[in-house]
Amino acid sequence: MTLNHTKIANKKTGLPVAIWKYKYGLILLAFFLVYPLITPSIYHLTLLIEVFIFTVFAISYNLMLGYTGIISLGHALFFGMGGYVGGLLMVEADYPFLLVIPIIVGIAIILSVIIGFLTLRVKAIFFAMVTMAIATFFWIVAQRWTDMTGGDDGMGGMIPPDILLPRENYYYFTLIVMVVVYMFFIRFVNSPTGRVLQAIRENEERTSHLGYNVLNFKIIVIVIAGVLATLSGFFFTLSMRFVHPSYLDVDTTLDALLMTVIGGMGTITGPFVGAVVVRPLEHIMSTYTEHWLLIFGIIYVLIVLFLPKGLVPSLKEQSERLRLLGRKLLGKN
Amino acid sequence: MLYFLIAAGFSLIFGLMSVLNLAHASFFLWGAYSGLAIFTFTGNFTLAVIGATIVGVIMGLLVEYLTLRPLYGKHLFQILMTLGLLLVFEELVKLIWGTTILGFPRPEVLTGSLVILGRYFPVYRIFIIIAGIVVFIVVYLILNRTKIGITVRAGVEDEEMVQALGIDIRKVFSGVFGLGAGLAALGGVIGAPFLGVYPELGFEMLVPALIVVIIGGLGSFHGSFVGAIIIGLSQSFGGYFIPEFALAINVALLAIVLLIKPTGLFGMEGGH
Repeated sequence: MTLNHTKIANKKTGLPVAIWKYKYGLILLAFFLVYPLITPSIYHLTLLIEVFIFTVFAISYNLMLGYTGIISLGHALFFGMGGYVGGLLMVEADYPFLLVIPIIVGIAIILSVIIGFLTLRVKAIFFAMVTMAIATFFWIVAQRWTDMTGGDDGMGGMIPPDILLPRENYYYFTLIVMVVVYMFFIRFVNSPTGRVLQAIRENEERTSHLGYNVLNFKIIVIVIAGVLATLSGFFFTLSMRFVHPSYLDVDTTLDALLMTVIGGMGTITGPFVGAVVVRPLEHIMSTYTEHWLLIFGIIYVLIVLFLPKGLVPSLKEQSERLRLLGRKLLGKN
Repeated sequence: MLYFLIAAGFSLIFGLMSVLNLAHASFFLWGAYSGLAIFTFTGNFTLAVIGATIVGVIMGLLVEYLTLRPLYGKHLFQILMTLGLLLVFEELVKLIWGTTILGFPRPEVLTGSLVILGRYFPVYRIFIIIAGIVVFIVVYLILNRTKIGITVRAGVEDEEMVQALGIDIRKVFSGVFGLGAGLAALGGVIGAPFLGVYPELGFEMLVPALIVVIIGGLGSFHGSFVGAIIIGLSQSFGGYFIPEFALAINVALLAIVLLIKPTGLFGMEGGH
């Protein structure tokens, strides 16, 4: 039933539909591609690298929360695991970059399957609680096992391969990673599997009565989310060249959650909007006040209460309503 | 026993309202801080305990009324909301009292140790154990012997039927939420002289409480009592022999229980 629309051109512009559909994304992409040429500011590049990496992290969270309706309170587990295991393999064992990636991906798959099998059999709430417990466990390990992880001082010394050493190159690398993940994300949520996941979100019982093995689908999604989060943690560690127990703590999970909720759960644009809003805001606010988390928390609570669909869809809805209202008024006059 | 105080309210709230209230830990935290404030102000430990419990109840009622009422039936948003509240309450504590660890002096009556069977036991620990058992008995009696208790248990079983019998279930919800929050705050103020008072306290208590509730069975009151004893014992014994792995043992216990009986030791099949 999937027709190939790509070759049909848009009537107004003559552009292929596929391009027209993602015009804003493509404009943004073009902007990011030329951005390093406009400004050589290392600070801005680093910030944008963070945005790209956290977009990937938020996508992984959105797949679970927004598309399947599974809530994880320990997603930082994978982020930190990528950072620590990847970092340790590079620093202690001197493994090359390209070998580290399959190793951490493998660990992420095994971990998610174990967690998923243990917790997803009962209720979604168990998954939330158990992931939180396990993430806290790893957080304590990272803090206490000082010989290996450096404890609270963190651990440094992991250096990206030579070709990625200049900031600009790392910038382009993370940009490519983000774009590839985004393409995968869009394909995936529109694939039959993605549709089943959304069906699970809407009504789990009905989906299972339709003959889908809900548990398998849920495990698929947490494996994908785990892998993406692990990779983003690893790339973030490489960008910072430093890894700290705070990568594993609940604030990191909250970051992903904030981005997903602010950007809009279950939307394509959500993760990017969330990362663009949250990450730089954190940087700005933390320079003014040490209580920025409080402000963020309050904003977050208000969004959950009043704009549960997230920023973009809610704004869209409001503007739509205004337009309708305007049309009505004009019509009456 | 402290785990029991925090886990009991958590489990009750979940059982009745199917709200996974992560902000529960912040009631514990606020119990500890407000108890300390009252104690330094009046110098009276009994007043501090009562006052902190009342603060907990009021906070619970406010949270329930302002933030959870609009979200009943939307489980996902409830978790998101209470997680946000956990963050807000912790940051508020940092704003008001700062981030340093504050000491909570033990009241004089409860200092020193008792000699039982030739061994020394600090009086304060015995006090905590007795307080926990008293609370368990009182809440158990309320739940099983009074009309309110019957209503609450009926609400856990079948919410709609209770409403059909002409009882405003929302009032029961608010009451249980307040009671649970009060229990957590009580745990906070009693635990404070023993644990110290610092902003991360709430979150540190949340994870063992979650494990207790899962092992004991979600929504089961005596389940959380048994779960708390198991976790408390394994924590102290494990902590005695290999301190680093106290939590590891608990996570392992959690995994075993989930494998054998995914709903917990006393959990109901099906449920909500």
